[in-house]
Amino acid sequence: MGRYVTQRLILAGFTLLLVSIIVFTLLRVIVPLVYVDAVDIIAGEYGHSDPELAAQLRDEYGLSGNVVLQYFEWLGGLLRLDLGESLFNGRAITTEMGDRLPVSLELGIIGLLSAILFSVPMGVVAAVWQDRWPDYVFRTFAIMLNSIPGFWLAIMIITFGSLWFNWAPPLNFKYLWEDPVAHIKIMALPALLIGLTPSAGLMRIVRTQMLEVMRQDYIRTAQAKGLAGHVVIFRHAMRNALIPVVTVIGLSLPGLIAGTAIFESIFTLPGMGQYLVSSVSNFDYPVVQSTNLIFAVLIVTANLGVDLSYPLLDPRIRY
Amino acid sequence: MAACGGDDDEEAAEPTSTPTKEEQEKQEKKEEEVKSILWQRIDTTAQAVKGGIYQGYTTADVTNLDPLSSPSFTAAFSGCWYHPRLLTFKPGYRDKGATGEVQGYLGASWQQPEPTTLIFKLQPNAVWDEKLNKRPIDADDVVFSWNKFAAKGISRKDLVKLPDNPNGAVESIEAVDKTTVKFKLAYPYAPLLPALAYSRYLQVMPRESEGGYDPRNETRSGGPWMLTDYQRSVKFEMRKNPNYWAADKVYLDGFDIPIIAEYSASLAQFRAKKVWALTPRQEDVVGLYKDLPGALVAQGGHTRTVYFLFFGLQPGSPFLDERVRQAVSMLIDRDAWIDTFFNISEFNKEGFPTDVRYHSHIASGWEGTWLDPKSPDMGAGGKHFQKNVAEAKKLLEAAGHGGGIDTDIAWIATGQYGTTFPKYGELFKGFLEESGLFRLKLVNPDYATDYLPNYYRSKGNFKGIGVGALTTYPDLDQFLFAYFHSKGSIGHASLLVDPKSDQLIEAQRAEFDAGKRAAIIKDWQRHAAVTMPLVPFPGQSSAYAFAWPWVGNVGVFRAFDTESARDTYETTLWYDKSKHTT
Amino acid sequence: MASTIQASALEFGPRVVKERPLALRPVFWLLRFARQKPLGFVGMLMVAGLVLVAIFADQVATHPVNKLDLKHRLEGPSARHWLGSDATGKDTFSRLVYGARISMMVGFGAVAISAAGAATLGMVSGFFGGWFDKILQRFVDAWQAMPGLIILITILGIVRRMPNVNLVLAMVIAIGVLTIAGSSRVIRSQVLLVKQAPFVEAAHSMGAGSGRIMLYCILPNVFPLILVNATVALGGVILAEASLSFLGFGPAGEPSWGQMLSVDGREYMRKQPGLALFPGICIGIAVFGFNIFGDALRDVLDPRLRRR
Repeated sequence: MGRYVTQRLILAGFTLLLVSIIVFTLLRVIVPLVYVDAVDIIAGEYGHSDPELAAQLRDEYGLSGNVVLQYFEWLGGLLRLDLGESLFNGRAITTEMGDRLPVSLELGIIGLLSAILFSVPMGVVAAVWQDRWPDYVFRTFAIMLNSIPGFWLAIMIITFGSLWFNWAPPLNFKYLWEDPVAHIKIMALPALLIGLTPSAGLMRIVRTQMLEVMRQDYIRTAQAKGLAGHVVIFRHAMRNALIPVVTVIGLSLPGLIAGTAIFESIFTLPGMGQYLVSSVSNFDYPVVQSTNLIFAVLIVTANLGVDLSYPLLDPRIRY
Repeated sequence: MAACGGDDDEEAAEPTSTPTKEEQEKQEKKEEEVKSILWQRIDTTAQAVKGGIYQGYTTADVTNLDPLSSPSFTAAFSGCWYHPRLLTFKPGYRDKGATGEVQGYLGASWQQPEPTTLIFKLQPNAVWDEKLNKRPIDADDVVFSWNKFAAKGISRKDLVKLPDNPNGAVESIEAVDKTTVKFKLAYPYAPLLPALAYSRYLQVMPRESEGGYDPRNETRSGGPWMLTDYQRSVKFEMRKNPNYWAADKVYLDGFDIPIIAEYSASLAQFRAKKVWALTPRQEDVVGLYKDLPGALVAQGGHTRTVYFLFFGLQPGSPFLDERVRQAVSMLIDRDAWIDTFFNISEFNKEGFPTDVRYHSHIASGWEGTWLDPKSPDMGAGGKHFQKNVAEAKKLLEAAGHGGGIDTDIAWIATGQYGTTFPKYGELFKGFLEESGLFRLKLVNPDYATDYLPNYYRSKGNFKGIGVGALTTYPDLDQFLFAYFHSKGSIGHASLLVDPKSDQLIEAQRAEFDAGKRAAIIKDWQRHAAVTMPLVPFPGQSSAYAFAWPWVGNVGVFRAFDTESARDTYETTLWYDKSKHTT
Repeated sequence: MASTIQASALEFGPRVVKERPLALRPVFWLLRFARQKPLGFVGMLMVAGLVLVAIFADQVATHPVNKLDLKHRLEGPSARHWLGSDATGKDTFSRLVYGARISMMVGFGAVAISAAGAATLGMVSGFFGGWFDKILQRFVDAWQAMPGLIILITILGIVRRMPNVNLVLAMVIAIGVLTIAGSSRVIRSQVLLVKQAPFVEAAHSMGAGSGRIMLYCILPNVFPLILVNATVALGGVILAEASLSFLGFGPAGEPSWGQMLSVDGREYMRKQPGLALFPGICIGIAVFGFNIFGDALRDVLDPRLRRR
């Protein structure tokens, strides 16, 4: 086990390094080469084609000099948990992330929980009544959910909620530790909406797994022993069926968190996705690099977590 | 942020001919109807009580909080809540919009001993807030701020004389003593006073903003409000500054200003009464009016901003010939354009008053100076503002382009400049192509790195037609000079040698008599209508805005612009709890 | 096991007893598909309809795509404008029809890139195995750890600022390349299975080269999987385009569904709900169609599922 974990950790580090290099190369080498860099944009907005001003800004922002060296400087800062500062407002990105990461994480996690809440019962029911009407209804419903753009639904809810019920999403974001009630009110709807789309995929996996498990001999034995239907389903079938589902859940979390970008901008939530969206147009390099890296960290961690949790879930698996 | 705030209209002159009795009755009935729709702007200052937090909103975050060095104007907008300026614009009152006259602000009084010297005496009790231990705002702060603006300000070239901007009017500024500053001008410059009242030039910031604190993220207040909380991309929280020298005349305790980017969400918030004022899309006005009988509706004024079609003037360009430019102007269906963007036909159908005016080469909101292109006073150039395809065709034939012209048209089609802007361009392209006289290829340049340097500021060194936006100006002078003078910083048409235009522009900036100055600018408009160096956008009608009745004095003291509203309008608002329904 | 693997891509279900004339085989295949997977068949019809509309957009549309009609702006459905008109009087129906073309271009284009890349990567990696495979897979790990939407926002946010870039093409390439890694994994594991099949060994012993074996023995056997993956992915790609447009990173000025929804739809929906409703429905139909078609296709084509 220990050897395996070490191996995985080294791999994770390698993966992150590679992601950071790819993003850095794209932002700082390829784009400036074929096009322009952040300073050209700022200088352009000042309206002066002034090479002196551009050079001065480049110095000020730490963008002059050897690019490779700058990468290592940024990497060095990273090791000290210093992500640098935004080119445009000088705020420390680490502080900013400290405020924003919890919001996105929370949105993702609540979204995931709501997805599970939707999908597991639907999947189980669909499997138990396979090829009968509950199965068809739930499957069609799930696919329909998966087909509707979440942001479209959000705007429809805001517009018609307002027209019909004079309802408006709560304003003035509060952190959980500031005002728990207000916080939950604000987060509930976007989190629910975030959960809708992945719940469709999850439901289908739950269904397939249930079908698989229910064909296994031990279930048939249980049924033959005359155990009541719900006991078989809940105690025997579901427990085993859910192991692969956990994998899927773990793996879908980062995607969910990335998907929060859209809902963060609709509902004015100070999350990471929104931070990226507002920074990328300005070529705010340090911010863009950092958000990309942090999302990658989330993905790698989720992968690692899922792999390491197998032995806990299923005693037959050992590393 | 507070609707009905930044406006500047003045009712159009009544028709002069004597109406028949029938017409008169009809007119009266119409006026009554209009009265029942429009809020009458009742002054309730006598009943005003202190207290209450105004619930406003804004649609976008700021790039950073430092107005004097930020590459974007957003910082200047928010800066006006807490940074005083030497002067401010006098507000209008009820039906009378602000005229652009100035009044004292941080500069309590001023005098001009000679045309090239301007001396300000500062407010004696002006202090910074507690974070600076209520230190007096002194002349050194003003000088510090000016020097920073002159070195880093995005609009510095409008005012400051610099090695690379020899036409700037202000040579230098010095602190005579703790409460006196002296401006030294390069030449007599009449429009300096409005410029010093303007948000995008000189906001006074404490010297401590260099070295003492980071002005990009923190603020110190010397004005009526303080930024007590700012969560990036979430909200601004403004509270009354108890140390403001005129704090006793401020009624509200503050403003909550969440950032609501999504239009449907801002509508929902207003309907739910969580936001107190709203300027909706004009297409939604009639629906909202019928839906929300309790809300107040008012018409703002005409804006003082006009956009242009500007031309590529490289050697061989067809647009070097004024007949081609006149033809372009005559292919535009101004009424259809205005109808599209100001919802005129629906308003007319529903009995909502509209006040459509065409822009001349200056915006129709410049009351007293603007010349109506439809009036005979415009002279020979007036016909260029009327759609006339046959005439345009003749002009093109005479210019040797009988077969039509193939060229480019450029505007910012990405959302970078809002979603309405591409629609403007779409319509122009449609008008020009509909005539069969132009075949246009659309180019979509990037705003900062392509459009600005290669089209907008290229001084005509591009191919085809550009669809251009501009910022508002405190005074016509900065605008006329930047856009139309051959030495102007924008100089769209500087390749068209036009000494008469230059001469008129120079004459007006040295003319201290307002009436005479307006006459010169009118002359210039007549001249530009003929030579058509650029083609102005069609025109406008006043926009409608909504507010809930518990906003006391809403729309009464009418600020000249949104930024001067912070100290001349928003300080007059009060919270009328008795009218607050849920 | 081996027999199922050798079955050709387009056969499934109970073995065909009678040999049908070659030309009619697809017809029978379709009939059988319709009988066994009615829902999937409906999806297939929806997809086919959209593809036809996309191809014949010029014939289907009632108005030129950018034709303004200022006298009839923001109108509801009528004989003049079947599905109403937008803020400058452009015909909603015609724009939706051309929007289908963009959606299909983005969808099929991205999926084609992704499928081709994934097939190459998966086959090469799985077939050669060993150290080569190990190293390659670590890169695939990193590739998969790229935060999809985030990277797309980053890339398109930058690319849209460049002059003369076709944003539709940029989006196609970006989405396509980003999704290679995920599906290459699935294909690789299938290749690992096929590699051990007797006929591959036979080919080896007959002296066939690696390229030849991959092309003639392995590709036909992983092809159904590629097809299924691609169909299932298509819906997601169309949604991704809509999301990016919504955030303002879409191909501005093009009548893509996402663009229609997030510009005029978002702004004028109170006045003319159709502007938001219809593009939303089109996105829904397209994604729904691809999803149910893909699901059914997976059931009948995916060799790993066929045992059930």
